Amino acid sequence: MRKLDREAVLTRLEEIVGGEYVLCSAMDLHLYGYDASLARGKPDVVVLPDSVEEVSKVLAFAYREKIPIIARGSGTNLSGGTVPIKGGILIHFSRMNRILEIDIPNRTATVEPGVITLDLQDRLLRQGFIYAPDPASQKVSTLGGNFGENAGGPHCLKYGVTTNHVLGAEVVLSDGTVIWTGGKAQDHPGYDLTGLLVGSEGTLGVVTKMILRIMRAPEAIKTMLAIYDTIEDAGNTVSAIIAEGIVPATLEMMDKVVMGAVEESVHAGYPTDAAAVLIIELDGMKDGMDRQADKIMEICNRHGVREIRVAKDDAERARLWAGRKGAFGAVSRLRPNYMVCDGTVPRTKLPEVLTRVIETGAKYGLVIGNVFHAGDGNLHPLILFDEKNEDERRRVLKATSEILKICAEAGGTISGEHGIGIEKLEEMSLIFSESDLDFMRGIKHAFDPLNILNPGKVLPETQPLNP
Amino acid sequence: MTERRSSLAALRKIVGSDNTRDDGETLGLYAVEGLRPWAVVFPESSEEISDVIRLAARENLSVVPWGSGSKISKGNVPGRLDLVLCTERLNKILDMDMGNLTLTAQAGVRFDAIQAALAGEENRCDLPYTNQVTSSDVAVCSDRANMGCFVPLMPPHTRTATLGGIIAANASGPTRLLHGLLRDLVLGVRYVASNGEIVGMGGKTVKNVSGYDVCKLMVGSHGSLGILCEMTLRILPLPERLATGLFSFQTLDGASRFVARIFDSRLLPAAVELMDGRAWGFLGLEGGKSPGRGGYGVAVAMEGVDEAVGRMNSEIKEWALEAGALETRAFQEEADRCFWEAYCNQASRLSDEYPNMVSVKLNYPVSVYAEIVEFAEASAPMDLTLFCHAGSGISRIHCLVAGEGADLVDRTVSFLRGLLDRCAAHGGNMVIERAPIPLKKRLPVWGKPGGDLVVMKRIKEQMDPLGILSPGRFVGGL
Repeated sequence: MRKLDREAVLTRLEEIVGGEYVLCSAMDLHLYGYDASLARGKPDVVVLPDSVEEVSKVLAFAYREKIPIIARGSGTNLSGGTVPIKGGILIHFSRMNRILEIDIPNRTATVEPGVITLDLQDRLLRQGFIYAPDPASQKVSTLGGNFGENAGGPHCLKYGVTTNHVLGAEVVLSDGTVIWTGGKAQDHPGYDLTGLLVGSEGTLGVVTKMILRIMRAPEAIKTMLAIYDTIEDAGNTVSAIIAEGIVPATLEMMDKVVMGAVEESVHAGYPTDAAAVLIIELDGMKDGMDRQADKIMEICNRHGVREIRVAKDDAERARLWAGRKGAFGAVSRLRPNYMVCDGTVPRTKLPEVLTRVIETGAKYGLVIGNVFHAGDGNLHPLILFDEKNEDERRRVLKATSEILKICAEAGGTISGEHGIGIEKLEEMSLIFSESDLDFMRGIKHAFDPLNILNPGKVLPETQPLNP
Repeated sequence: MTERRSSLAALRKIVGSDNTRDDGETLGLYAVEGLRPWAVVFPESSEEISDVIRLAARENLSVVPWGSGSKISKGNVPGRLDLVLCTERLNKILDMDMGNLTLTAQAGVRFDAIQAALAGEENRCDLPYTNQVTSSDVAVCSDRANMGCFVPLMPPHTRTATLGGIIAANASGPTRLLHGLLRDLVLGVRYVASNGEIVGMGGKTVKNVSGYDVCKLMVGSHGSLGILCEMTLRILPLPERLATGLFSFQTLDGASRFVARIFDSRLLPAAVELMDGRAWGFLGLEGGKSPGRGGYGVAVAMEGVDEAVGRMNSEIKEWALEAGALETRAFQEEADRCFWEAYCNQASRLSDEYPNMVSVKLNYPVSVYAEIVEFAEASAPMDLTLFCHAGSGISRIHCLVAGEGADLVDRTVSFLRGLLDRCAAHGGNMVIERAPIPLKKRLPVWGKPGGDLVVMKRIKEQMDPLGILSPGRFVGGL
């Protein structure tokens, strides 16, 4: 904030959104300075707009004054994407949390960005419909945040990630102009701007409404827990199921470290002495599902499974999932902090990469727990540590970088669903050449020529702010 | 002319003399909407394409990429045209990773060649760990692991279309209902940007949020942002069973009730296609009762496990009869494949018969489809065939224009404008996919642009500042 003094900025923002919706106490600024990563920052001011008109006015003002804009939801994102590292105006969407329409004939839901993911899902389920992406943080995360990060989740193996379920969006551009991309009619002529905006971490535009694709809830669901004495057998089972031609709704793996923590906190009924478990879920039409489940059990047996449990009812199924979804939270019982790597590799490279991840942990003397989307090759090694221990923290950062490098070398990528934010900026060069990055910088420039939207994120060395 | 001569010499140096053509016959074959290039080049690698584009950028030459030309009639007449860059020599499948279910191929590979190669690929069993429990002589994957794979897409022109063209044009077909669009299938792309740099995005992972999702931008960019060289797609194991039901109805109302019943159910068909009686007539079906003029046909594709396909087959047939179907037919195996091939290649066949055919693609929210269909049929000044992806809100109309009278052109223009208005009133649009040039010049080829055109323009200006990549062909004259 150079040109205008702080008071003038606050006054203008109060005019736009109303005095009580401009937050600027030291406490407020501290609270909006972090997300679920280790990064920390501080906004200059927080605004809570209630409409697209207000958002548009805030952006038009910021554009004129070259003030950074950071849009965020619940801040469950894991890579520093919503941390205001360059100060600026932070827009929090807690008031724009309306489900505007559920259009069953067109199979769409239109929502504001502040809607909690699970709230929409609960409401849809009552009408027999689902919104498929189910990030583990769905109880807290917002749909706007899911859009910004292109959130994934266990069910993405079959249904794809957030971007595959967004049909259109109302977007405020960096100068305050409001546009619509996509819509209820599919195949909108022109560039797929919706596809480009999803996962852009708030660096290309600020989304104020979203049209999401909804689907009929599956007729039948079958959830199994397969328990293994070696992680290798669990890994081979994953490959063999895919080879069988079965595409389960989920294929999740969890190792001993994580299960131990989960059992202490959630009591999901996982065996704490096993080396690994797989959560395998089938969904779809009921016909043939039993045969497919039998086939999966046969495959598990061929690969030395110790025990297979099939959830008998919704309550049992919910319990199995509570453990998986509570895994990140549960590991904080073991150590105060965890760093989660989100590297993704071609599925067949998982074993090689897992082995190297474990070696990396040993090399740096760190405990690593594994809980991940095995079916789509998306690892989530959780490195446990205490951020107050400077030395340990340094080793964690080194190990993280090394793990991402291992993933890149295996033909994978450095983030499958958590985003780049600021945490992985340096590692972008592991997978992108300068020409690749330049192309992306061009896109950034086309949307945000002044670099005021969430500056310093996603792309390394974008042009400096306020040059 | 001397400039051209030196450019030609430079092109010959890059791709070789045999692969640089400037003879009249070739130039005529590669004319884009009547505009002839002065050279056609046939590079065989990304590097050669990169060198060609570098030269083009240096000398401000405009370039239109060309696969097989099956969709070259889509888009505005180019603002200018110097070179056509044909990808037919980039015809290698680079990787079929059956364990991972991904395919990587060069832009010029024909779609049916990819499907044939994938179907014949036998072993998906890739068990990477040394097995610690099972003894080595026990089979660890079943026979199903040897059944082959496919790209879950049924684009038009399957016999000729190339992978690059399909992706550049964002082509899709009936099975988009179950399997989604190219935006859901393309995992990685490698292309040459307008400055000649080779750019690679994405790869073999099904999840990837590293950087911007540029694959989405390139899918459907119609050669306006880069020349596609290689792409990686998701593939799927061939389903246990495929089947198709075909039903004819006397009225749109009957067909619509049937379609609505399917979508209200928990069944998961792969495709539900609605067509008018004339379209049915052009499918070349032998025997059976055609719905005839004024009637409608519905084709339902089913795939999946045996039991599910079996149930869909019987329930759907029952519902068809309840909705007043005149006739029900079922296709399995080879007959099933032949039916959909004929269905997807219908435009090519029609255009041979009607050289002045006008083809349009309508999009609209799926709930208003009956209104759109009725309007189209009622107001058409000529014979037409109409197909709908009934579950997706997309219709394709081929206007069978016979003759060239000025009066007919006027009436065709006003009919199409009416259709566009109707779709736009519901938030939809209309794209002219093929039309005689004089007619095209009087029509909004890409429909009504929205407020997002401003961003598209900025992207185009940023990514192709000289305007050398397919100039003027795309939305808003980009």
